[in-house]
Amino acid sequence: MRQRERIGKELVAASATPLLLAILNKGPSYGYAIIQAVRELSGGELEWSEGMLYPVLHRLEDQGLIESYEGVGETGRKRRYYKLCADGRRALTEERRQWDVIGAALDKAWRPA
Amino acid sequence: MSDDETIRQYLDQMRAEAELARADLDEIEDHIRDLATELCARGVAPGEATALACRRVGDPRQIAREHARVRSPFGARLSRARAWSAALLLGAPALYALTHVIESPRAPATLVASVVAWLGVIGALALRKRWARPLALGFACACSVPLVLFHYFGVHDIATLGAVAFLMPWRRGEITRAALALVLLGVAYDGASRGVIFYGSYAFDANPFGVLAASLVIVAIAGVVLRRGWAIGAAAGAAAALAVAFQWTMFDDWFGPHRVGAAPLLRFYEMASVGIAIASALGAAFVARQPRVRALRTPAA
Repeated sequence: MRQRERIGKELVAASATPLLLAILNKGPSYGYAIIQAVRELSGGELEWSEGMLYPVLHRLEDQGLIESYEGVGETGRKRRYYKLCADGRRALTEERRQWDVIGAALDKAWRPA
Repeated sequence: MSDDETIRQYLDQMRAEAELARADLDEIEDHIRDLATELCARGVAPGEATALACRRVGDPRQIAREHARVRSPFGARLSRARAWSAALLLGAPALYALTHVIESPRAPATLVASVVAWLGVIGALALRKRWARPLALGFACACSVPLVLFHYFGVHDIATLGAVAFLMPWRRGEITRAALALVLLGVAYDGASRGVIFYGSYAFDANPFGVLAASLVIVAIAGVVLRRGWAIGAAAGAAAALAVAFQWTMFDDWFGPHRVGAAPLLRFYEMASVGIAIASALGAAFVARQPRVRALRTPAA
């Protein structure tokens, strides 16, 4: 059996923002846990690298969609957590609308005529 | 090699590649440690887990470059509300100073130029340019000293104190080294203008070395913002010019006959502000040496 290809770079990049916003919508989280959450949500198909995650987090923070704060993790080390802001919630609603459009269009296109 | 040593080396390599805030490096460190713990749980020998985690995270220089692309060497960007509030609080008195200076018949052109340059910084702050924040912070902090020292609640001192509140990096590790250089140059600029030109000699036909110092501080600021090596020379030159300016005015103005009645605290403050300005300019020359990052200033993706 031919091994399935990894999901393309562009698709991974395009879905990064909505995925991040959606994960943080469930509650504050931190970098390492976010990578694990993405892996679980995608059944292991999406493997985010650290070099990609943190810049995206910082960019979203810069845009005011998410906010970071310092907390203490279960290990007792201080840790940087991220949470969704009001602007982030609005952006998530809009992202969701757009992805629904794409999903629905693909769905219809794939149906046998 | 111990785990701490491995991580320290990794972070040192990141730091050598780009100007990053302490908090960003802490975040990566936390990540490596979490990954190492997970690898241990999966059966990797404890001695190797950290090194393996570092390799998993990837080439430190690459990671640093990815960070630098979104993070400016001058730290995080201010929110609109904070940037505009601070710009308004600093801009109103600066505009007033400009009209005052222009109307004064003996104001040297360099003095007018320096007030105009300062208004430029405030404009950049309003546009949320990241280099403008530390600069304005240093200046505003220095301006707030007399408020604390003399309990003098003038309107624009209160405005300046408000600006400090908006500009202050309230979280630990939020400020980078390049930003620190700008904070110090902001302090030095205040010392050069306040201690030597504006107040030290009440007439505007002032001390040429004070004017030179203020001009050199502006050159140094431009150098740090453009990430050029000559910023260090300019900051050191500013410190030297401030020291000469101090010598120049000290006997005439501060200890001269017309100042005998001046309150000792005021005289102490005037001297201290030049002292602080010299120290700040020297400090800026010291922290500004940050040779690499210029090539990394690719526009944010």
